[in-house]
Amino acid sequence: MKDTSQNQHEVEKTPVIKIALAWLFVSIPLMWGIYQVVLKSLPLFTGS
Amino acid sequence: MIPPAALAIHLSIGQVYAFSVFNLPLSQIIGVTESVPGDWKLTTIGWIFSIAIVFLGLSAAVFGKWLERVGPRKAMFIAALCFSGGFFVSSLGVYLHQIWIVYLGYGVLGGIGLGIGYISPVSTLIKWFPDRPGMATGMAIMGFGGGAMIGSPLAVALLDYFSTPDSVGVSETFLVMGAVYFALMMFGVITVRIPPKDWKPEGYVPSEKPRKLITNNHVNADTALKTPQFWLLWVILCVNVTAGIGVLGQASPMIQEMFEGVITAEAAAGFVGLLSLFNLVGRFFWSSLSDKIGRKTVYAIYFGLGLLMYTLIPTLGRLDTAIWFVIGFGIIMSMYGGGFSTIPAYLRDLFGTYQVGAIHGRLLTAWSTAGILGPVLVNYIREIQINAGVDKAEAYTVTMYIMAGLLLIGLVCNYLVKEVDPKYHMFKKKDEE
Repeated sequence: MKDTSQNQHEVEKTPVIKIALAWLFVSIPLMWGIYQVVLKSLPLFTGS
Repeated sequence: MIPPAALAIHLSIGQVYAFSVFNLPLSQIIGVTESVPGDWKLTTIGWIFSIAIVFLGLSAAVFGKWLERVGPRKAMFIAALCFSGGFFVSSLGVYLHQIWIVYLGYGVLGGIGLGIGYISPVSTLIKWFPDRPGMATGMAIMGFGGGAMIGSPLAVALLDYFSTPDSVGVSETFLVMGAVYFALMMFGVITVRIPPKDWKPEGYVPSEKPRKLITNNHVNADTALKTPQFWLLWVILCVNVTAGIGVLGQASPMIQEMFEGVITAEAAAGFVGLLSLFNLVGRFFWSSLSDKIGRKTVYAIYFGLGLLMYTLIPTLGRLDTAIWFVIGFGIIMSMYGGGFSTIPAYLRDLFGTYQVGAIHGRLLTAWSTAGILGPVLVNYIREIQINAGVDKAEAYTVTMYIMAGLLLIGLVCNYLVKEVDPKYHMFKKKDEE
């Protein structure tokens, strides 16, 4: 649980692929949530 | 990797805003298709959310200094245990039909997870992004706004899956949600890192010359409480949240009553969803903008433009089309979200980075206060109006003007914010320990 492992050293560059995967991991549920909201809000504009 | 880690935590705990999805099923646990004698009343169920919000504020205030000591990883881990544990305990409470177990589970335990989880990535993000603290914290706190967007459809889907002719499926849904959120939060736990001492982003040269309202000094959490700046920001957050929460809870009936015959219940639900989207975007947009134009200016916009919008809402509600009303409310909600996400950077500017997480935690008691004040104020004023014979649609007018008055208080408080008196600063050497 120690989170100071990098504290004493220079910051290691994180590979771009790792960063992209991390963003993908959190973006998928967020995008799904936004999609659901947009779907739900359509009746507001279509008047149905 | 740090922003996705922070986002994972906030996307999870933001589920609390979608808790109302469970209100109806929780009130039909015995009757299944309808509430029967012995089922929990909605007023009884409403306390689950209120307890969680109160414990959010309390735990953020109490555990802030502990978090600064142990670091974000341990804090996020405890937050994950508490938040998901809250679901598991509540699942048992629903299974045994004992409301006190649910209060203890989602309310107390979950609330503690919310508070620790909310503040855990903030100070780390500010330290990783000294050049753009507003954008960095905005990104994480945006996740809290987005949490409801995931939590609500996820809960609906799970309830659909687990419901049977004999059960509403809440107990099973709580179990699965506890496991899902634990996994998502653990992603944050594993990926979070604190920056090395004296970390600076590439090409970033901190200004040697002190800039107006941005200190290079530090104030510790206990001392911060003695400064007028802390209490001014406390009032600023409290009035901004009170005004926002007050109308957010009324958004669906409000648009239906103001545009009777035009806006259906389904469209009103869409309106509420759209407001949460504005809330989410506002959290990122306004706090990022604050890095460019300054925190004080951004809050002056929240309160100045907000005041104008609240005053205009009754007029917009009398137009034939709801579009301007929707846009007006969208702007209000974006600034409501922005108020949350810009406050950590405002604290950093005034008190430095030393214990900014702990100071932020203590400031969140303003949120707990507003969580009670907002709905009570709106419901109480509305009831008085309707009892006095005012038309339902017109009853919102006074509410809007009172909310505008609250924002005026915020505007004055923001105007009064000045640099912290140097007598409160810590010695540099001690700060860097």
